[in-house]
Amino acid sequence: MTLDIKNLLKKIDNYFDNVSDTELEIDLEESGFNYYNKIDDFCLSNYLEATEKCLVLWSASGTFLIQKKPATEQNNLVYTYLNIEDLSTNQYDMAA
Amino acid sequence: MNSQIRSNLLGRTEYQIDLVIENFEKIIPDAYHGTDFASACNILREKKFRTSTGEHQYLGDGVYFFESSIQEAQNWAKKKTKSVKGGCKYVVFRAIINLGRCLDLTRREHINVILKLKSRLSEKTKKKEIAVSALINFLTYKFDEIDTVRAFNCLGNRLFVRPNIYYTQLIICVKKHECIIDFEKIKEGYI
Repeated sequence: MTLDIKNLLKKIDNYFDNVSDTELEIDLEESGFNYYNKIDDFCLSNYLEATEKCLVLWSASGTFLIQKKPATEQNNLVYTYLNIEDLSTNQYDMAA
Repeated sequence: MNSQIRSNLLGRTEYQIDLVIENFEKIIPDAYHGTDFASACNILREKKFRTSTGEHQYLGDGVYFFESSIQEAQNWAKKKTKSVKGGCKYVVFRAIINLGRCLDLTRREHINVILKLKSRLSEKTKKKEIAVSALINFLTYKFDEIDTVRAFNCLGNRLFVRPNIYYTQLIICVKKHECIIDFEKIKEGYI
């Protein structure tokens, strides 16, 4: 009983090719999407360690990054939005 | 597993075994879940773990386990117990988990599912940023194909350079309770 990745990708495409805006809205609501998609809270909830100069964040893709804080704002948890494509290709500076 | 038994010309019997083990069918015999004493009592009474929900769950709704690390489960249990008013006692469970249809985010092809979903949802909703937990929950709800989710969680800074090695821990989020084959309380202590 394995996860059939090809089939799942096909199902995702098929769903989005055919779903109406109203149906999508209902599905998003019922899956709690809007509640869960609080990206700011999400990122902050995943911080691992905040030092004076950097913030270590975790990502579900198995990578993590060290986010430099601007010098003037080191006392705040300042970060930029992260997106998983960037995280998965390790584009960020890991040696902050 | 397919096996064939045949005799060769010298009269010896040879066994040919074609053993195929898919990663996602595997049983995890040592998954650990740490919690505070009151929650542990509920788990033991109901003989069932409660699903964690909320926007702070890394991999969406589910029951969370540390794979093969009692130490991390214990650390988590202590942390959780500290956050409970009057909490002083913690408990660690060990569970046997069948990963079943596992969305394994340690694997590129599985990450692609999340990327695809994000891309299609972004097109439709015009939202540039979408939390992974929201994507996983949507995937679980809409397509009902996922029993468990597995991912690395980084628990600290870089340990070594050349090569860079970070302290990470495998996390399992169980979506379908029947994937938890068995569990037992293995440790309790005070913070």
